Amino acid sequence: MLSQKEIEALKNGDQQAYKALVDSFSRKVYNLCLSLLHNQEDAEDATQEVFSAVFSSINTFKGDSKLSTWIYRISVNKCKEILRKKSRKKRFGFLVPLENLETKSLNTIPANFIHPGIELENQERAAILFGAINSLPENQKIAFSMHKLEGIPYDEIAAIMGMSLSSIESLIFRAKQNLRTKLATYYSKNEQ
Amino acid sequence: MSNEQQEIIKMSIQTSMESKKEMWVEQVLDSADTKIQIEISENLKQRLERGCNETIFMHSRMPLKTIWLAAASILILITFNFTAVKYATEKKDKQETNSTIEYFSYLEQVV
Repeated sequence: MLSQKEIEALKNGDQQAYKALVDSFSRKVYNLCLSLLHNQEDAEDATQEVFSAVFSSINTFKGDSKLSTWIYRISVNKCKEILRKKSRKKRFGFLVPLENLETKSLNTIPANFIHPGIELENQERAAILFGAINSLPENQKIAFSMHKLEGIPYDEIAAIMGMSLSSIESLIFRAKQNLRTKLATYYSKNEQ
Repeated sequence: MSNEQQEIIKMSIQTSMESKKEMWVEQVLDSADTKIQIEISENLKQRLERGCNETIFMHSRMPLKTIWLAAASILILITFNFTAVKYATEKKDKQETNSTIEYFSYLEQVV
């Protein structure tokens, strides 16, 4: 956590304060980006972009929210940007068959992301879970991933996403319900 | 085996399959609970430090005041250009109208 003094130093372009910021938040930002993007290279690029955005706009940080909330908000927006860019590329790719434009079907969850932070015995199941998370609507995916994978509390997620606490509770509840349905369908088609 | 017995067996098989499915779904949902935070790579650390130095360099090289001054100058330049083009077009139109009026009044005099 950075003190008020360090934040002021950051605004004045102090190199030590910048280093302290990177040391305090780089791991958290990288892990959040990895949980949202499901790709290590994309997560690294996103982390770099987040810090360059933080550096260039630190003067606009008024201190209304916690610094961590502000940085997480920039991270989520950056990840959303990357995800949208990727989905645009897919949509306009000439080699993509038309049926792929439909919402991802339930029995074809792409289970190909192996999270390096998950223990070996759970990796196969977690890959299926990440595939299912990937097929959720954007806001559900973000809220669920932040809570379940990063352990961010509901009230902070609400502040990050600019929504009310009840909206976040409802988003996460619907995400869980959707995941249960998707996984049950997957089980019926693949595990039997 | 009576029909009733067959039904009961069928139902118990279905129930056990359903509970097996539910158990599997819960296991998958909980599979990421033990996830640990991973450390950033050395490459990313270097990239972040490089980015940090570049931003500090930019910060020290270009004060915010200079950036605003440059933006204001560009805006003034654009406004001047726009006004000049507008003035020139209006002047040209006026000249053309005057010469047309003169031409017609000359024609009237001749006729």
